Amino acid sequence: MFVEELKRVFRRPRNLIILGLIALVPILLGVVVRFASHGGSHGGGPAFFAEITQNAVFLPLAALASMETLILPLAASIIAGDSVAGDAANGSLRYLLVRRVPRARIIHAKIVAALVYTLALSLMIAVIGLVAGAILFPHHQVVTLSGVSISFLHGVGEALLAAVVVGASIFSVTMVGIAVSTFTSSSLAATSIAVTVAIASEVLDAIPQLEKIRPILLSNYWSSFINIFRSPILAGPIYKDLLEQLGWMAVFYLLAVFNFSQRDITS
Amino acid sequence: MSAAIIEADGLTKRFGGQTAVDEVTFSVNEGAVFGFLGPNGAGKTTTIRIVLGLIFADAGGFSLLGEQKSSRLHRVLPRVGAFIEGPGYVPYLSARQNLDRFLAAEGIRRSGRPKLIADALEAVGLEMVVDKPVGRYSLGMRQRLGIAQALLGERDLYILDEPTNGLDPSGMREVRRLIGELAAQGKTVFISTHLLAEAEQICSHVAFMSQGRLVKSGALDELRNDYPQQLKILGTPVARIMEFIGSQARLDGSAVIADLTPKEGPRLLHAMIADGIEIAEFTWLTPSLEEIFIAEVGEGFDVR
Amino acid sequence: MARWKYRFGIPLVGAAVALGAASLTPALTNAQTPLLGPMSASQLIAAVMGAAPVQYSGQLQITSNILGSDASLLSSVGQSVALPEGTSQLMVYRGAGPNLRLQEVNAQSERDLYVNSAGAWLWDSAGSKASHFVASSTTQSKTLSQGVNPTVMADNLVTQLSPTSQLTVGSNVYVAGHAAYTLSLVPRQTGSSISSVRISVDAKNYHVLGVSVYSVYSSTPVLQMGYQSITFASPSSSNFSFTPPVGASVNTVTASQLKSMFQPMTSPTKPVTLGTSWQAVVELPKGSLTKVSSSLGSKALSDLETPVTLANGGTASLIHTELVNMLVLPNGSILAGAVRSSVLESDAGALGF
Repeated sequence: MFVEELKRVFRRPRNLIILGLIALVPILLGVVVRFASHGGSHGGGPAFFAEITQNAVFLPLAALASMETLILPLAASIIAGDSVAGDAANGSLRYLLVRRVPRARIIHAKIVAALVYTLALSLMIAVIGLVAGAILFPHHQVVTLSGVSISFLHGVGEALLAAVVVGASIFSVTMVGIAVSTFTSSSLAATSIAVTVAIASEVLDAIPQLEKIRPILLSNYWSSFINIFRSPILAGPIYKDLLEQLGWMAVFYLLAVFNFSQRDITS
Repeated sequence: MSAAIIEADGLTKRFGGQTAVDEVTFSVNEGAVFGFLGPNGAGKTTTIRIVLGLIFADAGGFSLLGEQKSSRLHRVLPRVGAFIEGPGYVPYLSARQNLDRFLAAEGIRRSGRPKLIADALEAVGLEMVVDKPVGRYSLGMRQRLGIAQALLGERDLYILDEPTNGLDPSGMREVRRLIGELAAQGKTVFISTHLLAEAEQICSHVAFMSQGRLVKSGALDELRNDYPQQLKILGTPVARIMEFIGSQARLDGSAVIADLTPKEGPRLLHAMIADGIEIAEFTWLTPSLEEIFIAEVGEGFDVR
Repeated sequence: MARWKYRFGIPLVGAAVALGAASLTPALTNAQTPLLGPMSASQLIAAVMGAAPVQYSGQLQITSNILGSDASLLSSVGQSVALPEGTSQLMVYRGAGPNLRLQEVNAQSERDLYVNSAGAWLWDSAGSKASHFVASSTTQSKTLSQGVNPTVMADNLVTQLSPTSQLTVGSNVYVAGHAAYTLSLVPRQTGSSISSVRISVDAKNYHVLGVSVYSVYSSTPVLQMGYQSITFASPSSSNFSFTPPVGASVNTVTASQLKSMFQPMTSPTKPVTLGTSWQAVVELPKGSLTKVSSSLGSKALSDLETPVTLANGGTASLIHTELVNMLVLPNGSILAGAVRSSVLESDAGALGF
């Protein structure tokens, strides 16, 4: 069932177009920085922007940093919002159910498939960014934020690890989207709500007076992946990020599974 | 009940304040072609969804192939082929990919799938378009595909909800033929429709639904026997015919009409011929399903 | 409907549990009071002073609320002020001897101080700048390695303030998961703007885990320095050595240059101190504030000023923060101290204003 769900997600032309457009971002970013700006302004902008020209490894990282706050949550929400609602709208959900597929198995397959897609998104950004970076920029030793030099291969490994952390940071949004998706047969509604939750979280995170509630906001530890590029790796914020994601995932997992298992399928 | 394939006992379902299904009780025996009849919005589809475990009843119970709990229906669902309220497909996948998805979900091995898919598509005449995305199909083709989906694999029970919706007359005929074939193989068919003429041709049993309630159910023949049967005789001389039948007879144009029980027919016919009466027509006028429905429900059907 | 209980009840319980865990876990661990053997204030002070140096790594959090309600006004220029307002995180690695690494962790950058027996490196990832301090003796790098350290801060406070303070051992607490004694210093003198200083001391090795300074103006600490997490084990030696990366701009500072860098601080124009201990007030010469005021922007600074009429009829302006008050006298010289404004005014009176 999980494999079938993956096929459903990855055979959809729209989803492939989203993947393709996202894949273009690191390439465009690299080309623009390489050919358009000479010297350019240092500092400012998302993390690792200033370092792009220095090493191939920083292109995927700058791309991840710039997409983590909006494009990745949006893409994840589109897939997650469509997961149950899409099948409900086209009617194939009821046929899966009357074909002996227990509801628990359907919802779990959809959850895993959407999470895999989310992770695939960020890994794809990293891989394409690394390839584009290797073509456009030098690939020698990588300097971490602590001023320590590590080998290029080590840097590549850390960039991939960063992609995994970024993907996992979006898991909460994916799970919110799936949970909302079990309530409706409108993918668009489910997607919009998930995106709204993500953006609302970022907005609340930016208000100084709400400092007290920051730890429970799903976006609070986004960009924790930057801490991979310290020597030694500063794991604390990354663990906090993952714990935050786990908390949100647990709550919305329960909502998705219990609502779906007990809900009337009238579509 | 020993051979009951589907049983419903006081099924009730409310949506908001509206009662969609109101204490519906019926039973479908093995080998029957059961017509679940009623106008749109009578509660037919909701009842079917309850029986298939898609909707949870507020009250009452049911059993499907002997299984009574919604949560355990997946044990008996492999023996059921269902078509519910139109086809349901992932539009950007082809017919083959869609059917493959359903078979895979059911746990049928990859090697066994192509044959099942080919058989089902052939049965509905779609073998030419298997690799086209379903989103580009015409309405009728999608409907056929929906029926193909219900026919996938060997089943003991077929639940078909409005299977002829959107089909052209030849498509309707084909579906009736398919149902006839299934019945001939001894399968149980539960078919819901608002087309009474269609049901009359294929059903052995019927149930009438109206506004969420089940008004009447039973074998079609028995239902008919509950109603007076009329005998129409055309022949000469008319006066002699009237005499033979007696006070029951009345004249309608040149035909003699009489309310009689069918078993009296052969003897009467024989006696009249022996008496030298020339008989041109001797016909039982059975009441149509629509007439019975109107008599029972007290309202017409808005057909189509 | 029973099914509604499952559909929404269970997820709601889940949400409540998650929220509870998120909000209560820190509160619970902080709320617990460890049972420790009784200790008098003087015993505790002796233990702290006599504690053997330990090797550890930990996350130090420094929170400053000195500007109080004016913080938002000044937050935009806060970076340029010597004591950063708000919270900063510092990873501290302390090894044997002079070995020390301080890592100031910022959102997208970091600054590092690497200290070992050969000298020290200061690294700033923004702009890839490295400064190399070449040590001429180990004592020099040891001095360098003192840096930001709660133990040093506590030692200084206790040494300077204990004669004029009421010293008590408060209720025991957990700091970063370690059971700790609390040493509390309350001024015996009146007029200080500090209401108390609390020092948390690890109950096992008498290492100082945190220092909090409370002001009379606010119930939250105005200055807090404490470990969020700390592990008493010797950190990996890779933490203390530094090789500037290829392409970094390197600036080498020799011992004599270093000495001249600190020259202004030990210049002849040493500030005059009025009052003692908790009432200590420094008299700064005219113009001392210009540097601060230019970095703050004159508008921001004037917003903090209120006019005060002095005993001799002249007008001074008072700059008030949650911890420090400053009085700018008519002749331009400045009285500053962690004292109430009345103390500054009487000191001004003693100076003839």
